[in-house]
Amino acid sequence: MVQLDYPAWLRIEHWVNVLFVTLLIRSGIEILGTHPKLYWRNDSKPGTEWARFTRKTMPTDKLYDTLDEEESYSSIVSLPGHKNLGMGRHWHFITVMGWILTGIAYYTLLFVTGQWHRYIPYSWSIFPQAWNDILTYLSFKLPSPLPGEPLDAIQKLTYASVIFILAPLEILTGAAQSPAVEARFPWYVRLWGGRQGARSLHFFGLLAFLGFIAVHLMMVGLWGWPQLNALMIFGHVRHLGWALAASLVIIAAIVLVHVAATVWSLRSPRTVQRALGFVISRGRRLFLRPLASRQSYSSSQLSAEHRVNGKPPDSDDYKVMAVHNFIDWKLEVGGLVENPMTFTLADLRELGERQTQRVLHNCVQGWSSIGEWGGVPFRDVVDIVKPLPQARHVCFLTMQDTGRDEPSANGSGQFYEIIDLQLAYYPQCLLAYEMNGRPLPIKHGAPLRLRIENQVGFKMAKWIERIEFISGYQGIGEGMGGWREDNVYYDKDVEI
Amino acid sequence: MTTVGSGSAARLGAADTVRPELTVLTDEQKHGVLREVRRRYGGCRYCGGEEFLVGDALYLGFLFLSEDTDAYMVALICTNLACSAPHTGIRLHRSEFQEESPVS
Amino acid sequence: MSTVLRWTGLGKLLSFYRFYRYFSFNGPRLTTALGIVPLLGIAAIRLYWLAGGFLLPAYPAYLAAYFALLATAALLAVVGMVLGRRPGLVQTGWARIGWTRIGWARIGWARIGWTQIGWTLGSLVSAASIAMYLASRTVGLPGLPQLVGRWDYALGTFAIALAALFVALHFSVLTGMTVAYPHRRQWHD
Repeated sequence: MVQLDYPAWLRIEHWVNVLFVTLLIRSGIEILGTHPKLYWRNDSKPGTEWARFTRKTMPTDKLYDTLDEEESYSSIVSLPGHKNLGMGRHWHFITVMGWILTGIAYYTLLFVTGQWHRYIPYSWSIFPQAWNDILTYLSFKLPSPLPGEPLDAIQKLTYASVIFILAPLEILTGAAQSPAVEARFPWYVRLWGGRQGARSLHFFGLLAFLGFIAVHLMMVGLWGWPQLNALMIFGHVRHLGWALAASLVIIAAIVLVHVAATVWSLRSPRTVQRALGFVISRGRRLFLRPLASRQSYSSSQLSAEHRVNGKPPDSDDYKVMAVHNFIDWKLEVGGLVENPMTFTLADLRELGERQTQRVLHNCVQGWSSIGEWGGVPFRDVVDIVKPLPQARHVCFLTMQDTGRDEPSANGSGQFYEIIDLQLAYYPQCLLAYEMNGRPLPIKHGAPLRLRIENQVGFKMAKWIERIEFISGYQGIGEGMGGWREDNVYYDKDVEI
Repeated sequence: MTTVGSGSAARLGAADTVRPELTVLTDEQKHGVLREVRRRYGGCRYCGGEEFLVGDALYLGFLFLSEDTDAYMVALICTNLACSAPHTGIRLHRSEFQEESPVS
Repeated sequence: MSTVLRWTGLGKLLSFYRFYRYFSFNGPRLTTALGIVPLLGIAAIRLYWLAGGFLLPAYPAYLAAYFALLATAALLAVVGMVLGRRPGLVQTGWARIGWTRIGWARIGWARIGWTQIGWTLGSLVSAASIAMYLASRTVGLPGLPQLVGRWDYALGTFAIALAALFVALHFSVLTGMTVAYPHRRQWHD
């Protein structure tokens, strides 16, 4: 039988996990704050949430969007705090990548070295033993560790649950919130009760981790902090003073990382976006870009109130066009193409076969709704205009002036978004002029919006007036690939 | 000044599917609109023409931040075929195009 | 409730806990169910102790009476919480005609309803059970010196944990963090 001691890799993993889990918690709270409401059903229907973490109430006489609902949390509980979803996402995703790699290493080492028995029970008798341990704790006494093992029965079961159930659950429910994963595998998101089911379960996982940490620290205190600390530093109960000092140094370093991440994100978000985005985007491209949407929800699943983000162009030109049912609206398609074209709405309606798709919309803030979109597949337009070989991206310019139209957004200027040309050929990439069988409503982007179902919602530009095929985007706006990317520091490619 | 009933001239638009945000006005309301147009502009701002068709109304108060809660945009179509911008609109408060009982 | 907090100065004390306004939950039936479970547990434990499962083989009659009273009160509290609001014996319409403030006072009392009575009774039961348990282990109860210092009793610890849970839950209902049946959230924005 392998001796269940404290090898170096186990001790290192412990402290690395302290860093990763705390980063995940703080960045996760930042992400939660951007839409601090939890639901069970995919529709995220206003008023049906089961929990709220905000004091804001919304007006009933004006259109509000989910940017208005966003909460600003303190930097103590969230990373970095103060309505910085872009930053929160970057830290969350880069940490997840590190945490998954750590987990894979940990599992491998546990099984290869035989140390997995420290968590996985030898026999079923552990359950009655764990029950006895609970009774012992309730009697304000400490139970005995299992013979030859470092833990008592209930501790062993708890660690096993955290390492082999809770942690994977968090990762799996996280993945279930990726638009790309949901679009390619609708059954997978259904497994978790839908997009919002996965989100609520992910939140329970957060609570479970917080509870575990609290109980863990209490246990370490009850059982003997100096001794246990030494075990986790040196692997043996010796040099307690040095062990204490070492642990304080490690904890201070972890705190420093948190502070540095927070300050760096608040002071210089663009550099955080570039540095972390560089790594995260490669992960996305590798694992998530290949996932193409294959969604087909039923009509009965359509959301009665599809949520809205972004307010319509508050200009007289737009309102006059709208009241004339957009008869004067023209879509200009140009840039690096052989045949620049101008289309009216009637032209687009007659272009190729109208495609409809009933899909789950994922806002970057976390809400979702199911809608049916109808329009012309974007690839049909691409085939007509014939992009030149150097065209690699497509820029969608809209009629929305963010400074004028969206007071809850950080920044101003024309709203635009850029996607890779590759995505134009994906099966459910649509220029939509209809929603739920009727003309696309004004609040949802009339007369035309983009649908690109394996991406997060903010990429799907609304109120489009011009499409340009481009070779690079560094010279457009702030050069990050879209208005949200320029101003809120999201990544350009958002399969998650 | 002519008005249009519930039928349509070709210039009213290719509304083969009705936009849900638009409201169809009654003849009396359209009269009210034309009254306001005459009072404010006299004729078409682009070609000076004096004849308009009145289309539908779009309620602005809910959708647009800057608008008053009772604001509407009403579609106007200049009937002058040579007009460069026949599709315009007029912003009205509801009370401004409500039916006016004829003075007896 | 917030008025009460302001007047008693507790509001200031809880001002760091103004966080509570940041947390609110829906699910009135779940809240009530979560409140019922600890009360049923409290009642069941006292009945078990009455039936011979107590720490000591024999104990004074007053303690038995207390157990019986506590169990009964806990069960009554559960009934109140489950029944939901009842307008009581007086019709509101009848009281409005010609009645002044006196009439309203009667209506006010009658309209408190079984829900509030249930939850309040539940908190009283919980507070009493915690107080009695702590007293028995610290200062001692008449005729029960053996219990002093006997903290090592799992069922006892569990019983006061249930009581503390109920009080915390009731507090969350009073502060508006949660909402109990038959009330509902008015959250449609």
